[in-house]
Amino acid sequence: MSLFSSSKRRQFEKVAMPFYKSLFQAAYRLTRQREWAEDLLQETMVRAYERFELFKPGTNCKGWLLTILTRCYLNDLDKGRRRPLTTSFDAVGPESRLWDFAAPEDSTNPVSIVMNQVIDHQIEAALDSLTEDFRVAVLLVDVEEISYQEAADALEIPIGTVRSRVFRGRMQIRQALVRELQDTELS
Amino acid sequence: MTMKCSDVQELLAPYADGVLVDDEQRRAEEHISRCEGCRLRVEAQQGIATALRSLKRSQRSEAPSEQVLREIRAQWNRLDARPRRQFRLQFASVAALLLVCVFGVVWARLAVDRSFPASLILDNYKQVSTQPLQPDYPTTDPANGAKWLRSRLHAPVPPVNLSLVNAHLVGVSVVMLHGTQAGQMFFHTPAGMAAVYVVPGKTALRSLSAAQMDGNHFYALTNVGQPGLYAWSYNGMGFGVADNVASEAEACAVAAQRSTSMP
Repeated sequence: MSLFSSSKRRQFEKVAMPFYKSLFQAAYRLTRQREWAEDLLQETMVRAYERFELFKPGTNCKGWLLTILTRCYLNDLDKGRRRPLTTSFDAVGPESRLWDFAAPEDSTNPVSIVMNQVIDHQIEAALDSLTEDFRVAVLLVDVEEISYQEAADALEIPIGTVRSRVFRGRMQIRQALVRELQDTELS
Repeated sequence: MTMKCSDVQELLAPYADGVLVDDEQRRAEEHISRCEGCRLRVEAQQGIATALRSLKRSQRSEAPSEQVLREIRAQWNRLDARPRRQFRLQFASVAALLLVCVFGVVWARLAVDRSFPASLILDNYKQVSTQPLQPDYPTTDPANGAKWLRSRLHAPVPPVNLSLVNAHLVGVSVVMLHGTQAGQMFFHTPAGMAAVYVVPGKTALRSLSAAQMDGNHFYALTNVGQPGLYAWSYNGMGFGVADNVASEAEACAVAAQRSTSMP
């Protein structure tokens, strides 16, 4: 290994490798398949190392890695190499009706009531039931907690579209959870 | 101006997250302060966002297999090795290019025809000697004649003085011999006319017969009853003396060679 390479390797290990595990978890959340997530992680880490000169020190390295990860994931989807597992969540309505969400009816405590009663796997199922565009946008912004702009860069779409997808995705999740709760109470 | 709910739709998620600034923040605030529906939507957004963030924190800790990291490091090693391979390839390319250049230069030098045009000179002499002599630059001064030829041939043509053999310059000319430029110096001799030819760059004389006279080396092209030519090379130029009388050509050649090689 040359002096330049060893210096680059040290720097990369120091700056990027701390996110290795959380990057895998992000890949797992995106793909919902362990094998695919591992492949995605590998491709991301190799690409990131290859282009490490493009990373600006002091900026958000995790966001940069997630951008690469997301592009690798979308690339896999585009090429039809793999398909994400789909989850059926009957409570979610068609995308075209999303803006017609009624505002929460009980304004005194509309969200906390719902949220306190649902468990993690229901949220996960509601998230997984979103259409792929909305699911990825919500995952990046809410779960991975990268900025709207970073998500826009990763998805190569305008920031306004990311904002809109996150809004609609969250409303779909809320609607799915409310209906799930109502069904549970009825039964 | 009153904004509709759909006008601020894309601002509600970032507003709920508290990441809007300036004009967008003001627009969202203004609308939400007057729209109960959107205020509730913002609350819903905040609740879902909070749940999603907590989802991440409460999830079981998954880790990739160790084989993945081993494979990643192996690929890094391959990437690190690539610049060295590229460097070696570039070095080999440059070396090959240099070799081609050197070979090209050598080949070009070898390929240039440096052979002295002895036969053409004799043919030219036969033609000139049968006609009234009309040199381009009539002069009796060898230094002037040489100077005139230097300016035409762009070569260091030396003065040629044949007074030792009673030959006197009458003028100089430039002639093309099948595409090769040559200088001519015409001399009156006791037996008639001799011509000294100067051909820059044509110094290969080995196709002619070697001869030695009074310690001087020559290459000769002679036939009985025909004009003779005695040639030699000096300072990157080929010289030849042509004369109808072979013995006179010999004598002139000796005198000319001594004359041209004098400092």
